[in-house]
Amino acid sequence: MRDEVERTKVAADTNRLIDTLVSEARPVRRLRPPLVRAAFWLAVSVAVIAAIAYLHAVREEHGLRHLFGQFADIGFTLQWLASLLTGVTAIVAAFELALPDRSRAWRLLPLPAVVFWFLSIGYGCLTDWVERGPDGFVAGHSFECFGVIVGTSVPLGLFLAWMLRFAGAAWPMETITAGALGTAALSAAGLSLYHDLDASLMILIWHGGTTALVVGVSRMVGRRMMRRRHA
Amino acid sequence: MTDEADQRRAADQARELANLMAAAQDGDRRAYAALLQAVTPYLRAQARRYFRNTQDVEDVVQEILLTVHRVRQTYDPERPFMPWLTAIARRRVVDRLRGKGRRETREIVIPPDHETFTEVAANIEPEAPDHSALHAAVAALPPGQRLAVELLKFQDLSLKEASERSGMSVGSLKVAAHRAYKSLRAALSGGGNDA
Repeated sequence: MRDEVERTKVAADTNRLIDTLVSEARPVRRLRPPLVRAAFWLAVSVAVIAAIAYLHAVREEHGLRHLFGQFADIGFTLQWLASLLTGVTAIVAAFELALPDRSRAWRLLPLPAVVFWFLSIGYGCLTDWVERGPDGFVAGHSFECFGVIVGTSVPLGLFLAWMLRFAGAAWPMETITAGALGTAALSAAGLSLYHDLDASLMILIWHGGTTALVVGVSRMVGRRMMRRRHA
Repeated sequence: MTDEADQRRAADQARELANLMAAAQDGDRRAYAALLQAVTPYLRAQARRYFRNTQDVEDVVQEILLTVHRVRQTYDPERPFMPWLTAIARRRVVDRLRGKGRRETREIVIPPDHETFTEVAANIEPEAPDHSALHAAVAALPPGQRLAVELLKFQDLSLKEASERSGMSVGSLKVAAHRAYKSLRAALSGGGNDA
């Protein structure tokens, strides 16, 4: 009996909530298909990253010939394509995962590219070892790489977060992970156009490591935000 | 035959919900109200599978409705409505279960049954009462009344025993005791002491 009374009372609250929501229901513009939105974000981001790469190349007086000369090296080309592919597939996955009714399997889309990317860097490490021996294995530091990847990832990531702001409804952590991975991978791809790292181990540490860091920090921040919202 | 009819009815219902949501996105408030009213019992039934407490069930239903409202532009009318709604509902249920789990590791809920009385004051150990005022008041009584109180109350004797001990009749003991209580009551309450 008491349960019944309580149930009716709380159900009345829900009815009031429905009334409020209905009274606030203004027309909304439906989102465009996720692939179209992903293409829009990619176009903006690639333009930004390409502009930064171009400015750097000009300033450092390498010129564009140096920039494209590197593509003669098959190892570099594969590595660069792998990071680009990681970026694109991860961003597409993020736009799909941000919608409640899309399959969670989208999170697997960037996986082959990520594996390929890290394998190509690993292969670079191996050839370095074969060619130069232990001397080629010095892990220097390149805070510039770190700074550029983080510096590009943060504004592009914020733009992405704004476009995917509805993702909290269904798969927030999957969306954040894919989005952060895509942003960092694209930043790394842009960076390797104008910033030479002579040892693959350094690429592994500074490109791979920074990407992992960007993903990890984004997940942490995302989880905090979700928790606060639903505390 | 009935299976076919059921399937057709389910398909009609699904299409109806998708149409209502599409109309709601275009700003049709009546359609929106009909949609939310239609899905609320379903959401409540789903929530009851995870929460026993009525308040929890209703809270999670309200959170789902709020989320539906907040992200209603993410629905694509070309696609079925229920998977969209179910994904949102599932996320809110999981978040609430996690939140509950986190709270329960930090807090201990004491149900009211663990208290002897719901009044806070009743659960505080009383201090030993102060008898000095009472003894003073008794000492100030006339001798007959004082004797009656001492025998009947302090020594807890029956009227018959007190009568034998004091030599007073049962009747006069009763009268003396009655008068004593009256003057004690007056003395103790009048003095501002509520012992």
